[in-house]
Amino acid sequence: MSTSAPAVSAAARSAAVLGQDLPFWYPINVTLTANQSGIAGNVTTDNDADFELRELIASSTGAFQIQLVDRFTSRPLLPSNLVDNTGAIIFGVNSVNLFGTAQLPFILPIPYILLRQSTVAGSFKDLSGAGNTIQVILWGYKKFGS
Amino acid sequence: MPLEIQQAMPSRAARAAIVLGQDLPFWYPINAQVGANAVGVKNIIQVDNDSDFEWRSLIASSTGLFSVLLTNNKTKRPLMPTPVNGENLSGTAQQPGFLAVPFRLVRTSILQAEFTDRSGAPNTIQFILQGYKKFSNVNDPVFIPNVLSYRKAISHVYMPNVGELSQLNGKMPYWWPLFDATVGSQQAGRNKFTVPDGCYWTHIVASSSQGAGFVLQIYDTDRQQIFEDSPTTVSPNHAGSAQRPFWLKKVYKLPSNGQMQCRVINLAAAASAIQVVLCGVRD
Repeated sequence: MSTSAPAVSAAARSAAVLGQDLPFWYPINVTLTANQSGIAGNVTTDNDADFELRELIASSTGAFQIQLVDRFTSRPLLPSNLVDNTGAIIFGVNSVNLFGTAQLPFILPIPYILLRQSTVAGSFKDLSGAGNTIQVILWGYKKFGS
Repeated sequence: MPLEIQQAMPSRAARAAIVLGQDLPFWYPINAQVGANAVGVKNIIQVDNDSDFEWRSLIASSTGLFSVLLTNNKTKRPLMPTPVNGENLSGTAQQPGFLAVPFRLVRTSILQAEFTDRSGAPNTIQFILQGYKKFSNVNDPVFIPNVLSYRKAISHVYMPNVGELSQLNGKMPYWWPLFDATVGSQQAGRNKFTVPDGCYWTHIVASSSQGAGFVLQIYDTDRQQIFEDSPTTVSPNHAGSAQRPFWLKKVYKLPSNGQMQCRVINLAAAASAIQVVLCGVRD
């Protein structure tokens, strides 16, 4: 029997497991009626760890637009006062332009850190003309080392 | 910003400072309503005054096909000599159309888009510059390449290596439509363009209006090199789309003041609108 590898205690291994980054899904769920606009949906990160946002994922029963704001920094993730070439006001970014799926998520090449107890606020607008059940996922890692 | 937050952050205040200074993922949309077959419909986006913008990819949705000509109004320089088809330029959130290397647009810069409808019907377009707001003026200590969502952790296998890409950092993204014309059934077409100094080719995309596609040959007149022995390489084996470009494994410096030529042969039994685009950066 080989004894070349130093034995690592169960306690040390347990500490390593407890301290590692935890893959985590933060969902925002909203239900819109046809053409409904300005409906809020928020998520607040848990108090046990900062969150490293790495991917954006969503599913819905129809197309929608969204505005997103990091409430901790009060910074929106897209510009305000958007208009098109005719001067019509644009509510936000189309869902297909912001979110992927679990198979093909939208990947942030540079992860974005949300402090514990930070709120990400979404405002939604239905584009489908029918009832719309939406789940937006902020996917990343809980950072227990921080 | 480092890839990961440091593990030993002593206080919430210190962490908050890092959070406030970190790069913010950001989407700058250009929206347009374009009439059927309308040409050169303009709209702009202006970078906010609170930070520079590190532009990384193009994402778009529309109700029909379109082409677009982009101009950086800050430098008065177009990013392409002639309009490029939307499918050769922009992807979706799932598979964005990546720039070879990120490009920094300074605060208050204006990027102009001129849209042309190719659908023959009214076209509602949302065209997005995606990237990061850079709240720090300090250059990133390490070059962080994009991640191909369909390749994920092994992206580097399919792109020029990170060292080569990092040497292109700061250069202007550019798209060269090498061929853009309608070719009759089973007919051949040729085109060429003269390359100014300081142009680098990183990936190639193409589109055709007929599913049968086309074959393609490319010729570098300066080096007198042809890239295919015979015109038998069908388009899906030669070029991708903006969502999944065909990435060169090594960056190719285009001939300074030389010509790039190409020949296409339409394989369809009907006329086909074919566009072949070399993508990369230039000084």
